[in-house]
Amino acid sequence: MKRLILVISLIIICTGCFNYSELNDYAIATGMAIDKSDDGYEVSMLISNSPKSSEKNYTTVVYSGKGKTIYEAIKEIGLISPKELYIGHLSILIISDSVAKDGINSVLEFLLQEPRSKKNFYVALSKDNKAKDVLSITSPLTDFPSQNLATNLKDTTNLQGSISAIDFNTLLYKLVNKGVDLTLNGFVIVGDIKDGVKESNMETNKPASYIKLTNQAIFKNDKLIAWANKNESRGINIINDKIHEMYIKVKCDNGFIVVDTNTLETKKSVDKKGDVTLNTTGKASISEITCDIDLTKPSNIKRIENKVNNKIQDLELKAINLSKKYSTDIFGIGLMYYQDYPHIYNKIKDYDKFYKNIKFKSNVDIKINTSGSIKQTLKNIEGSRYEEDN
Amino acid sequence: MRIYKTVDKNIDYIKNINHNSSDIVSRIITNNNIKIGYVYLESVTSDDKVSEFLNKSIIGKNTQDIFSNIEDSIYNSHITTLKELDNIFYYLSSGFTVIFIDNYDMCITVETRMSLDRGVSEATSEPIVRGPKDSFTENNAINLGLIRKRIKDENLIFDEVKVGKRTKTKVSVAYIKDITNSKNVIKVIDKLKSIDIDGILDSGYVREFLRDQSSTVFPGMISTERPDLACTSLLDGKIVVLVENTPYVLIMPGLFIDYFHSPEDNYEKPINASFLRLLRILCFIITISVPALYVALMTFNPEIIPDELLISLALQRDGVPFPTALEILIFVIVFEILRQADVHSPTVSGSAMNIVGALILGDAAVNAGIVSPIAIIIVAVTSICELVFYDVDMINAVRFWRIIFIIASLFLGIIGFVSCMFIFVTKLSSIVSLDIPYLTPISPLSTTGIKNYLFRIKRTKLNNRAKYLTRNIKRMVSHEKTNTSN
Repeated sequence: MKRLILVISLIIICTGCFNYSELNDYAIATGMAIDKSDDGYEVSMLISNSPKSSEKNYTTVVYSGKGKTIYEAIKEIGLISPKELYIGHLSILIISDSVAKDGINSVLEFLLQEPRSKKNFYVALSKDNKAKDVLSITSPLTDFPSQNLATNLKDTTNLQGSISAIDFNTLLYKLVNKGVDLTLNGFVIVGDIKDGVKESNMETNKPASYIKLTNQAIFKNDKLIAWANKNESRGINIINDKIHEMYIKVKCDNGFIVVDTNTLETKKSVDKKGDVTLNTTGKASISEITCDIDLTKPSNIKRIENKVNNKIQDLELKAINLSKKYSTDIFGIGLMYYQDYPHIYNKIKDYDKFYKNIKFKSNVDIKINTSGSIKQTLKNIEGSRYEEDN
Repeated sequence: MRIYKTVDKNIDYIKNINHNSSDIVSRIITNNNIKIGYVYLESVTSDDKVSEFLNKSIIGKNTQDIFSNIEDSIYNSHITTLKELDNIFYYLSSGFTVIFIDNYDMCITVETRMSLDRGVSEATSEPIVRGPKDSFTENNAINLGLIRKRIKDENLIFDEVKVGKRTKTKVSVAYIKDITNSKNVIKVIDKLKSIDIDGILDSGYVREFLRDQSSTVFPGMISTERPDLACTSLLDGKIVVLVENTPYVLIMPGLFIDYFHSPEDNYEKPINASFLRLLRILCFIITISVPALYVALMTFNPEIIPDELLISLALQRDGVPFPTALEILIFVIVFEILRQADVHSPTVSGSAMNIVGALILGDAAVNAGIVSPIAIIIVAVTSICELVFYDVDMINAVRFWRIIFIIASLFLGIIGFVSCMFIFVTKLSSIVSLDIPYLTPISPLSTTGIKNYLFRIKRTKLNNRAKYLTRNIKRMVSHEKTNTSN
């Protein structure tokens, strides 16, 4: 018992309650946006625990501050916010494209230094709009804006195939490592910004404005150099093995066939000369047919498979051409080459030139294993018996 | 001191040592000029028995060799002959009647005890759904009987020690000779004999003398009012200490794992019993650590809490005037007060208690902004989990350590919590009960112990007793599996 009292008194003496703080003294920032201002940066924070209204669970506030450095700008927010700013629960960081064009290294420095910040928040760009506005738009479907952005980014990864969510850790990995360049997703605002930030935007069933995910931006070192289009974005994601499910639309005689691929997987290998082989495999199922084709014939399935393979090859080629055009190694070929042949890699003087001369060979093998519920298109079965399914 | 040869002197002596207490009754009968006198205390003696058995056998007896004549003709099986006056008052207090006869320096004591006990009733503090319902009573003989009728083995032994200078309480040590470690029995009996105290009124008195070390809040022995639990423990090789005048018996050794058991475990299906035991362990962890973890996370390490929960917590905390730790401590103490009030209040005022507890302290306190709803949830969860244990001593120990944990978390956050956990486990492993480490069978590891006590495996497969409790480990009479009927 005496020893116990000693231990307890030691706990009290030895610490002095360092970093003790009550939760309700924090202003919890869940989103952060970085814009350019006249003399430096404008940093906006989305504070999620403002108990303004008693009826709704969550109401949010966006505070912004300006400064020559990010830290300065954040301390500027400290003057506005009545509570201590807490960035341990940041879920998304949005950087405006104008900042990204000048380089993002100096922007990220602060978040890496700060011991309380988690390193697994998502990072995205805002295209053509201020990052602050993207942060402010409310959505009727989710409770608070930053959550809207983060879930949007995370969940859409699987649908279109043009999005790939990148968190802070991955971003640092791609920035710091030689031989691999960065791609980031962008948000655009559709509609009127002024109405979108109002709380009424959450209440209507036809929001005045909303944010939309757009294509990927490609970086050279830490600077934004170009935006890819949709097909190029999809190609990038296929080569980087970022997506495992996506839809592919191919033309047939007088219409289209849409297939859903799943278990899509791409393996890259590089040989001694630096030439790259891409092996893409996967399975697919037919989702929609708007042309005359008889799926009961195996040869027709084979034809569709070939078309899908060609389409994927085409997407990959588009992405490769884009990266070669700006000589930015978004696929991490340099890193792979370095890992396999470090001596040869170290002798390369002009890597950009070397990269432009790399030959890409792509093999695609997609198997269609289910052809959907019906074997023939609706047009073809017209006139035959169809029993009503109650 | 020898007994006087004259009856009057003896009776005067007895009246004198008790200063003419009002409940002393004496009568002198002259039978053929030989004085025969008897004395008893009417407060503990049945008058009917005295009149029925004694008077008949005393009055009108042949004067020749009158002493043995009377002794032989009393219709009672409980007769002792005494030669000393020293111990006489113990007999009188126990409800005996003492007969003195002129010219004999001996006396006869006859048992004429009045029944001052309630009968065997249902166990109130350890109710179970399925299983025997009887419980120990305040009467030592009945208590011994409740054990004897369950274990009809000649090796079941009751050793009696009288403890307490003034109360002279009977303390019985029960054990099964060929199972129990005899070293432990000797140790317990020696300790009982060396107790120097004026009075023993409950087994709680004895417990403090029997324990191996005094510096821990954790109980070193189980106290129960259930005879079935006592008998299970006897069969496992433990020692049961029964104290007169209390329904609570002590079972030694009481190891940590024993407090996660319920007598019911033995009557249920093995898988259910094992599940319930694991559930109780989970409850133990929850009840001891949840308030401390809450304080640590809320005040030092909010990074660990998921986003949406954190925001919800921050909003709930908003406007509460007290720091988190104080808020939790206040509510833990308020709950203890409520419980104390509930335990000792008569059932008539129960509904008033409910209203105060549920409405005023819960809902109204939240609406008034004194506490956050989450704090009430935390305290409620801890308190509910605490009630899973039926042993009051265990609940007290848990309550003590919970507050230590909260204080450690208050000053050091998660680091404080973890270091407190280290101290806690170290403390637990340093306890011994009858030379058996407290955390057995987990540390030191004992597979039979785990099969028996951490889980409960099928009784058909439970061949052995735990090695650390007994040397006679074979539980089954024959190990051979024989294909009986079918």
